[in-house]
Amino acid sequence: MEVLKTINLTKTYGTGNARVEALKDANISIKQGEFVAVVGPSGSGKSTMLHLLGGLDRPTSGSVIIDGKDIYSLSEKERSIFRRRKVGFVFQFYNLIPVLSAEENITLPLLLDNKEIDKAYIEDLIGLLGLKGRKEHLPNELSGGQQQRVSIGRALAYKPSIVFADEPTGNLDSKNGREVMELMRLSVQKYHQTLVVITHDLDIASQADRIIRIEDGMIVRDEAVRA
Amino acid sequence: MKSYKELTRRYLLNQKKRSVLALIGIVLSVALICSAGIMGESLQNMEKENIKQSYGNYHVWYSGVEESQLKLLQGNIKVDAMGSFIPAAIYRPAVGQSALIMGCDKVLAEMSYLKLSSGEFPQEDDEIAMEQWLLDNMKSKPAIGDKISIEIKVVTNQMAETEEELSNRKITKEFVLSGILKNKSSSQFGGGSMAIVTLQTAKKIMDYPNIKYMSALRFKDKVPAQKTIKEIAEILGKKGKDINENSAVLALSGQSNRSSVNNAILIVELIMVLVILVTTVAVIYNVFHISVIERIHQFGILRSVGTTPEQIRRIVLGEALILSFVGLPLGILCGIVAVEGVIGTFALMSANTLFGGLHIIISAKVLILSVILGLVTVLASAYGPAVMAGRVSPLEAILNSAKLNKDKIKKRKHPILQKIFGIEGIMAYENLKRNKKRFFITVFSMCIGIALFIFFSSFMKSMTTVSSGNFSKNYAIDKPMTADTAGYSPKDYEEVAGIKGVKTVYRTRMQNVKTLLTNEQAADSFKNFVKGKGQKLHSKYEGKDYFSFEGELYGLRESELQLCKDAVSRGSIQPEKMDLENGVLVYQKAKFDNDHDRVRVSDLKVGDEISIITKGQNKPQKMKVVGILDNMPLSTNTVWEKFKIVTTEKVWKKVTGEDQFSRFDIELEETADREAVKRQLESIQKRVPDSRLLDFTEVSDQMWEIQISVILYGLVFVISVIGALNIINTISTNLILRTREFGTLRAVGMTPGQMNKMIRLEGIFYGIIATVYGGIAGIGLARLLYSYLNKLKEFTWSFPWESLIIGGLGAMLIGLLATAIPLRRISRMDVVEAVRAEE
Repeated sequence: MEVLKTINLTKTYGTGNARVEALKDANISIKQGEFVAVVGPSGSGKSTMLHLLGGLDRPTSGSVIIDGKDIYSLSEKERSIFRRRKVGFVFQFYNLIPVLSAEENITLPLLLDNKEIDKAYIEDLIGLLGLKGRKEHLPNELSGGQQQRVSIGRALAYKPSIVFADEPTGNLDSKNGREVMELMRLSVQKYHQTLVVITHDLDIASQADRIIRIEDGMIVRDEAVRA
Repeated sequence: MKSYKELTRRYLLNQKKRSVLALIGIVLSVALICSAGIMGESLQNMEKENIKQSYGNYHVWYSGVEESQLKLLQGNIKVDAMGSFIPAAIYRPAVGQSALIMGCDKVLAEMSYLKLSSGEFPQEDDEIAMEQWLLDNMKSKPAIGDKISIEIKVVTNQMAETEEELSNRKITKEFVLSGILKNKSSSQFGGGSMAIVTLQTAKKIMDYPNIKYMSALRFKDKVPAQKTIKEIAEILGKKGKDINENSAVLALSGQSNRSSVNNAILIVELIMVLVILVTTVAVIYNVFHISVIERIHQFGILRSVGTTPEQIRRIVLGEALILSFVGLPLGILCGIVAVEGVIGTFALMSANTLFGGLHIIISAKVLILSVILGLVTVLASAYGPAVMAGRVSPLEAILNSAKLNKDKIKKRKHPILQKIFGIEGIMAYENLKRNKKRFFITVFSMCIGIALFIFFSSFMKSMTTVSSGNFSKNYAIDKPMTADTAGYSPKDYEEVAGIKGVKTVYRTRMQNVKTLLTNEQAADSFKNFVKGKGQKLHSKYEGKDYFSFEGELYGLRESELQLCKDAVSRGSIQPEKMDLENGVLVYQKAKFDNDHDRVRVSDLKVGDEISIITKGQNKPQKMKVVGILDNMPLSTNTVWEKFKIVTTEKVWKKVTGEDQFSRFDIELEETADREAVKRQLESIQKRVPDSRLLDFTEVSDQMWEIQISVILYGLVFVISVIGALNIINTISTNLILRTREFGTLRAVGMTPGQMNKMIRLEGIFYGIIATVYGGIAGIGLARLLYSYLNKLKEFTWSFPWESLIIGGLGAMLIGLLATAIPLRRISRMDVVEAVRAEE
């Protein structure tokens, strides 16, 4: 079942001679439960595409359809709520809120919704991420790996349909990186989620169901590695 | 770029908004300092003028000066002016009123600030000028040019004779009224006045050889007054009581000890300036602190390319200096404009109040002092951040770990906060406390604003209580406090109440009664007072020993009794019950003379019985205490506080056997014809011998209150604006430092609405926290003021809920408004940029 689709998705910066086409007419379709790796050299437009897919940015033209809805036809507020409930983000630099504890950072999307927290699920998630003894810790009391695991927790807290990760292991040593990647894979499998990961790491890419390669803002390759 | 110092200018221009913010802070503070200085000096000068006006603008007067010596004095090189007078006679229009008729020359009239409301000063023989109210009291109502014939007692020995001697020299003398002197309120209330004639007329009235003069001298500036007084005394051959120093005026020119009034003004000014300085330091420090934090990375790079810490300090201090050069003149200008504008407006509002006669003095001294104070403040505030910038280690800055470590975050649980404000509330609250120092500085200036607001409101409230009591009145007529004359009749009351334009008449019945207290009822402080004074305050009645002393028995209607309601600390006011059982309210403190403070007289409780002896009786009557008064809300005739017994009119009439009133306080309708009412009141007042008509409209309390309020609350307002600047600063800085956090929050699905709520809450929380601390400080100050004022007059302490609530709401509003500017930036934030922002 198709969960995400883009139609001629284009993003340009600047005008005239300074015009840069960061993403050009991208048409992709991602199925539910798929693990997609996006690869390409720096500045090729990977991150731009990811931000557009997740509703963080605005495309110059084209549209992104998630769960049958064109997310850029939504108002800013609706899109915020959409992000909160349907999408999870994992950033390279974790981007945790320093004044909130690990557990609060994880439950933040739920708290923003004033939603009753599914304690069993969150406990389960924290256990899965190996953060049991770290729940009350503030981000600055955690190691890089632990911080990234908290941010994965945050991305999964609302049981979103899709998780986007922008070089999630880029700031970690290889051992921690492997662990984090393993955790992400395990969790999306467990909760039947879709995972889109930008990575430079061929190891990670090789684990994906599908690899999309971007160069100069264009999708140059889109192939299923396994079915 | 010629020198690294060029960096200073570029940084300033680069951070235009912050520079403007700092500039506003400097301008406001310097304006405050400058206007406080100008006001202080002008008020001090007015105080001097007032003292000169009430004591006369001269340094000394000698009595018994021979006519031949006058020229000697006039010619003295140290003398600026000399005026002479001769006390000639005393005129007593009524009991308790007297006017001194004296001969004086023009210089003396000028020195004593004698002003005519119409006519001219006497020039010819037998011409006289009198005060308006003396003429008002005359049956014939003389006009200028009329002849008046009055009975006077001639003085012979320069006012040293006794009453008896005076009585022997009664003559009736005819004068021609040449002018009317303006009323001096001091003479009106004190019952002493003056009428002037020429020196020649005075001599003619006295009619004996070798009449001596009294000569007042004003010395030239910078003449050592004390020394000159002695020198001239020697020339004149005067000693002891013939030399009368005008010590109040001598004190002004610093020729003797400073008067306590001046000291008080000075202290108040110092405190004001100190508060202003502290607030300024807070805001400027904050601005620089923040701008340094923002540039740590850049300073680190500068350090890594070889800039010394000292050079970096110079860059930052240079910024402060440039801002000062722009801010100081602007601030001074704003200060002058503010004072001129405010006082000018006040002067236009009415000439009859505190600022009506205020002459604004802008002296170089004040301006220079403001500049120096401003400059020192700015540099001192910027010094700390400059040192901090210099201490940045190159490595730390490049890695940019410094500011992260600065935030020491501690984790606490806030279940209530979460319930009320949701997650936004928790985050707002936690964000506040991220950086203790910055938080403290931000809240501090708001605290000062709130503390001052509460303090000033309490101050204004107590001033109102002192000046007008619990009700408003325009006129009052009363019978003299000492005279045991009958007072006003019920018919008089009807007449007063019936005057067109009279809104309310508060009527008071009062009689001085002998109060008897048993040994148990008398308070220890009173017993000690009696013992210490050796006063005989004991009497025996029906075989029992009592303390006996004079008290005041008041009889009031229910409507007047209700005015006392708030002052009742124990018991209650139930008129019917009081009627039945001789019920009284008592005010248990009294001041017996000038040398002693108020003492607590009795320890009466509700239900106790006390005895009183009314006028013309010798049998004590029993009264039952039904309530204790903490103060006396009604105006009274007496100067001292006395032991007061308040009861209903019915009981009062029963125990005194009388049916008179001692005082009417009259409140007018807005539209009343004041002059017409005054004339009718006068005609009623004259029926009671020696009674007075008091005109409160001339004092114009309300205007005075409004003007003082404008100044005090103006100060609070400006300090609040500075407080708001601080919050704007802190929140915008937090925004810059937290860009990535905000981006992340948006990325994980915080709506713009929720983000606005979070930031607004942050502003409001600043207000709340400032209210808590500022409230404590303000209430503490108000309490101190209360205990100070309470020594002068009895006050009821009331917790300043009202000002606390108003101050709190104001602070929250300011906090909220202060977030408006940062919020605009946040709404323009690009989530993608923010998420990726370099730390």
